[in-house]
Amino acid sequence: MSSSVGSRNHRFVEEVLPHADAAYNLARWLSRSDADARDIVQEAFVRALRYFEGFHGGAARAWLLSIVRNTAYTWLRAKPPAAESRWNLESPGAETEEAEPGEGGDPLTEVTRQQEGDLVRRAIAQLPIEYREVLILRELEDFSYREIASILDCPIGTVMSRLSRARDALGARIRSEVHGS
Amino acid sequence: MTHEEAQALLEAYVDDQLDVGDTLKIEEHLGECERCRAWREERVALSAKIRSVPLRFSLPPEMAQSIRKSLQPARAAPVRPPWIPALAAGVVMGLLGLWVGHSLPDRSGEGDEWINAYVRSTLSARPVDVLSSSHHTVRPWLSGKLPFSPPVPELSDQGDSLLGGRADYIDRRPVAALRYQHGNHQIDVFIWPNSQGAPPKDSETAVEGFHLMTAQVPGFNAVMVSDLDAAELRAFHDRWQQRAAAP
Repeated sequence: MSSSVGSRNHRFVEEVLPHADAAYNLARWLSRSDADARDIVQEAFVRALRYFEGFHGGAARAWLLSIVRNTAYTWLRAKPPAAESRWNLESPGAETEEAEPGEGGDPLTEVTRQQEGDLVRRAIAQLPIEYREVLILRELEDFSYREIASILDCPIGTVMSRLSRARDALGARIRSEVHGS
Repeated sequence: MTHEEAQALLEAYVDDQLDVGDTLKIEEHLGECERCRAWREERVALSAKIRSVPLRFSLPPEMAQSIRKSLQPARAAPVRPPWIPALAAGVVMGLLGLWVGHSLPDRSGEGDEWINAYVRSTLSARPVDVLSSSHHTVRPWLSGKLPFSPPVPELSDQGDSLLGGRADYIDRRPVAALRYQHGNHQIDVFIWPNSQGAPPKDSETAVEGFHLMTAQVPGFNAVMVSDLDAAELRAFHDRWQQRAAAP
């Protein structure tokens, strides 16, 4: 078996490792903390490497993210609930700001854009975890309903209804923030 | 299609998840229902808003590096180029060696647990629990965590720096794990009293990229695992064993 460990690692590097960013992103949104996300991703990779022999090709990103998701749930269950509600608003902006030209130059527009980003991030972060995960998988990862269903291990109809409720809740939150501030 | 039927499918329509038949029926309904049109506009606007702001977190670079490093030791070692092209051949030779050298029925995987422990701790943000290059710190810490007090040789004068130690549980026994740095590579040395079990039968095992070597010092068995190549690990093995036996 020892030689197969080698080729397994090689395949793993080729097929699974490219999705490490998506893994961290999902872990970060589920846990809402950098430290937790790191631990979750690390544990998820250990699990992924261990289960990799049972993975016979196909959608590696969905496969990895389902492991990340399960790991995150285990992790968050084991944590004191108080720690879950903390959400650091500063870091996501700084870390995720990708240089997006476009309205470059206009400082006022830039401020508005940042505020809008903060608002949307905060609104998503405050949603319950089962809404957050469908939103991230759909809007950021662009998975189909079928893929999301396989990651969450639930029927496609559940994906649709959960996504629908998540968007209702997000829309309501964004509206109330806009009118509230 | 009734308004209710359409409502049930609108979410999937906005996400472009419907088949052609349903899509056509929804579009027909949208043409005649203002409420559904307004709803769709709102959804499209919300999605556009979400997708217009940066939401994606990237993996911290040092984490990316440590995951990569622990998975592809062969590529992470540009200092030994002759070894890299020989990789495939090495695997075949390794297989042959195992096959020819040991015709015993299936004892594959004997070293896997040790190598897994090495990989796991390398992936970890904290590969050691006590971070110290001094045996005066590491040894008492380990003695406090384990039912024995392992030798903790320091080899910094020979190019191997002690990074620290941790307590681990492998092959159904508690073991002390010392971590050393040699060049760009790290080595785990697992130690346990020889009254508590034998080391793996193969004194040397190669699992592509990783090498495992057993060692004996008075009173203790040890297993070393690293992504160092076999010759370098053997050299480390000799230095370590000598120093551990006669500190």
